[in-house]
Amino acid sequence: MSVWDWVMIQRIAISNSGDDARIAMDERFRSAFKFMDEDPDMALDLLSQSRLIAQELDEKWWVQLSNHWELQTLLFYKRDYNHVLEKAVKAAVEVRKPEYENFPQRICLHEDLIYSYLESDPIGYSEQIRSAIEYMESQVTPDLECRFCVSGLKTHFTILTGDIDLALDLALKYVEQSEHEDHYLSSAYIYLCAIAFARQDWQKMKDWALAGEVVSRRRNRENNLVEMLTCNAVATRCLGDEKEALRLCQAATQRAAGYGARLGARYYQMLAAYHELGGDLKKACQVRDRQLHEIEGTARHFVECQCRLEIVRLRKALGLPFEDAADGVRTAAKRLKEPSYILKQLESYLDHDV
Amino acid sequence: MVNENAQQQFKLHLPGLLTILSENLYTTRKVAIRELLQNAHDSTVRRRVEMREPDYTPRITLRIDQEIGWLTVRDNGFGLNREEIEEYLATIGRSYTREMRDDPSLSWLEDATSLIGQFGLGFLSAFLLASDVIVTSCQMQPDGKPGQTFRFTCANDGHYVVTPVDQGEIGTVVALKVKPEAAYILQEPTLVAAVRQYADFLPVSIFIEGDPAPVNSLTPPWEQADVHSATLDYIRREYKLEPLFVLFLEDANVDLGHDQMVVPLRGFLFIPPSSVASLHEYGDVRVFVRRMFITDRHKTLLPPWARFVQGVIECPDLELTASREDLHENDTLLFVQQAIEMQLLAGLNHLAKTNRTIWQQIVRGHSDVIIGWAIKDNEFFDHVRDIVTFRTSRGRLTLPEYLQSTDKTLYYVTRENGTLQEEVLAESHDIPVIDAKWFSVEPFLRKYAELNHNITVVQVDGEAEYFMRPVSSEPYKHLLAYYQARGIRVQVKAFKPSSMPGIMLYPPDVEFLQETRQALDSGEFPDPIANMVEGYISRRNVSEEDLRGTLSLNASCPLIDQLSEQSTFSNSHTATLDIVYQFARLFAGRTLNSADAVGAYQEIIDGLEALLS
Repeated sequence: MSVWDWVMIQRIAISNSGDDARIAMDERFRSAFKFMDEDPDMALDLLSQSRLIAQELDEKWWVQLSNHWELQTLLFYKRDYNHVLEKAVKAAVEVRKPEYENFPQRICLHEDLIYSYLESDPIGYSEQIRSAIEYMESQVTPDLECRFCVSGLKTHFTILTGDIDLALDLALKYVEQSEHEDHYLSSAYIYLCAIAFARQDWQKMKDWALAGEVVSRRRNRENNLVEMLTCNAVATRCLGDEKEALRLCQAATQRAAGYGARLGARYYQMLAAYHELGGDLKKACQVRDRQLHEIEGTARHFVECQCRLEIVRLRKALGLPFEDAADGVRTAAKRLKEPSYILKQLESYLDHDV
Repeated sequence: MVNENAQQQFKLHLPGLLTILSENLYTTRKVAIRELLQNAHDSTVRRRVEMREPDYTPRITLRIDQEIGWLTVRDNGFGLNREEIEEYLATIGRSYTREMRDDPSLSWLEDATSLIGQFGLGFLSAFLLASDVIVTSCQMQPDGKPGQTFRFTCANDGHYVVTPVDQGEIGTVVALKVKPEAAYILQEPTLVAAVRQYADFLPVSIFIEGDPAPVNSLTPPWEQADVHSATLDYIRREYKLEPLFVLFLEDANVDLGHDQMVVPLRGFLFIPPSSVASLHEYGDVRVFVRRMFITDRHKTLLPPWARFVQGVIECPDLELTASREDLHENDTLLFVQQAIEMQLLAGLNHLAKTNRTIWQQIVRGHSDVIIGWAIKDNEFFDHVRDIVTFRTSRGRLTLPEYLQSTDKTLYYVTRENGTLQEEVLAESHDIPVIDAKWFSVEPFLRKYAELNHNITVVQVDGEAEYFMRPVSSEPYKHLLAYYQARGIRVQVKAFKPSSMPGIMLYPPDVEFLQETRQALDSGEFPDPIANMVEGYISRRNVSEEDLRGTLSLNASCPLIDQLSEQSTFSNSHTATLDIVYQFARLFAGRTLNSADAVGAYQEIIDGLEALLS
């Protein structure tokens, strides 16, 4: 039984029971999804209300259901990781108990735990992440929607750790697997775009961005849509159509401005690349400054290090002072378990022309 | 030969469609009563406006024949002729009343707006209750005499028969052969309740045959002579509560940017005595359209922050879904929402300025809900910031009241359990503590402090040391050595109350950390997950010793002072020291499982026995 089958069964039972407290619990949970894109704080409020009601009613599975979606909102909408690891560990500790053995979202809570490491320090914890993904794979049965999440997680991790050929193989399989599941298909195209960008295969990047745009629009995945448009702008600029590239970039930034949640690192990476590929390093640097402003205080340590590295590289290329920025990288890297990966890159930027 | 490009028409499977429309469109069988009463009402409106008879008294009568399982609805309205039976009654989706209402050339347009019918589907709802329906109708002629009477007989299979019958009275009789599964409607109290629910305000008397008084009250409270009393009576009767405040709604001008429009609105909003966030909130209204009940507890018409408000509204402009059990979420709904929010804000503002006592009662009764919404809405926050009340260790207080005793600092606790010792420490410094376990209280306090720069916020749970004063440990070295020899981590500080010899201090989340360590040690996680959990726990840098807690002896306590004077300890001294330790553990109430608690009590008993001997 998938988690949504379970939720639907609960929902019907709640509706039939006429129990005000349980109806309120479900209503808060349901309403939260309307706000994730436009106001993640509101979504978190509603989810925590649903969880608190569930706690009072001793609905343990529902408590963990709300927990999972609070984590998802923090990870992918609010993108504030300050309490994510603590919350994910607490959930993992709870769901180890026998009463959760058949709880369909148990694996998702493990996924949240993995993401909380993956998004904050993927290199430092790469071995732990790799073995946890393998464990998740071993637990997923074909009836569970988690099979899509595992594929996405594995692809994302492989991109972050730099094995682009393997990542391409995984992303293509992910597309095939999620052919009829737009929610996941949209993410699969995002990964393909990131891979094409790394390989500088602009035509493939454009094709995948276009395909992803269609799916993201169909599924109303606003954050993915913004990323697809930005990817398409980069690819189109590299393919020589400046006018269309500008249109796509403007469309992306306009949508980004109206988006209520936080966009992922890839949006800033692509937007900065768009300007840099057009020779406007100053704008690229401004994009990174804006990204840094958004990241600071959110405990996204790895993303912060990457962003600061880019600021060093761009400032050096622009002939601007960069020592303070380099100190910023060193300070940020201290928060990582294994800072050498970032520090080596910093040294290479400082030692060579960039 | 088939022309492949020829335009084809969809086919209808009538019995299937009838089943869907009659059985699946509505959420409750009782709604058939509303539809039948509405048809009867519209027929009386038609007679009133077309015939202009000075002595005409519209009337609807319901009759129950329980022993044979029939329910009859009779009206003395205009009636239908054969053509109208064919065109309107037997044609799905065609509504006579809607056509009348939408016809601008109609001389009685004003009256037509009171017609309720809309979709031409309502008659089908009869099959929610009935297996067979017989409609007998006699239309009034222009000269006021009855025309030919016709009988329309149908079952829920898509077939019907219309036949002329012997002369009857002017009007229409709808007879339903009630299905066994709907037989409850033949119970008079059930039928009366359904009539009152749906048609209480219909301006036509509805009788149960044999009862001289009409079942419905005919006039809504907002149209009665003494609106205020009638509304209060209605709220007491329908909602079983005494409202703190009632706001009467009226037509409102809504700004469209380029233009203005008038939203016709009647009814009232009211504030119940109290609410409980998440469990017993309001924020809903009962909706009537052209006096016909549509839905109870509609949630989107009131602004989201108004979870402490309820109401009853009548708005003829609201558009209904086909089942007419809900409202279309379109522009009209938005305009009505605006009209309601404008009036509610103005009413609350006025109340806050002119009747402080009632306003404070409202804020006290609904503080959880109000706090929750105030943190999201700055304007609303400004209205309530100084009058909303919080649970504190001294009862409910507003923040200005609270701040009188804490010198510009807000002290609060958030933990569910084990905060009593912090509260005792705070109280002994004459500081009340705010209970901020509810998720919205802490953000409210922080927002309050942000806007009042001279106010600070201090979380007290897990911060008991905030209330302690360092002292030299030298005079207490023997005491400390005794506990250390028992493997107990110990320190000495001075704190109030002096009657408390010692308390236990634990790291934040100690119960969770302890449980996790035990689970890791006993291999309860799969290895890859254990690695990740271990990674987090090791980052917390909490040792096994930390988890067992630290005994903090109170240098201000005369007992500790007296014990510290001993360089060697007799049995009664060690018994006392053991009792001090175990009391501190039990008072903290943390990390103890049942075996620990039993062990602690046993040591206290042993100590007391040693003292007695």
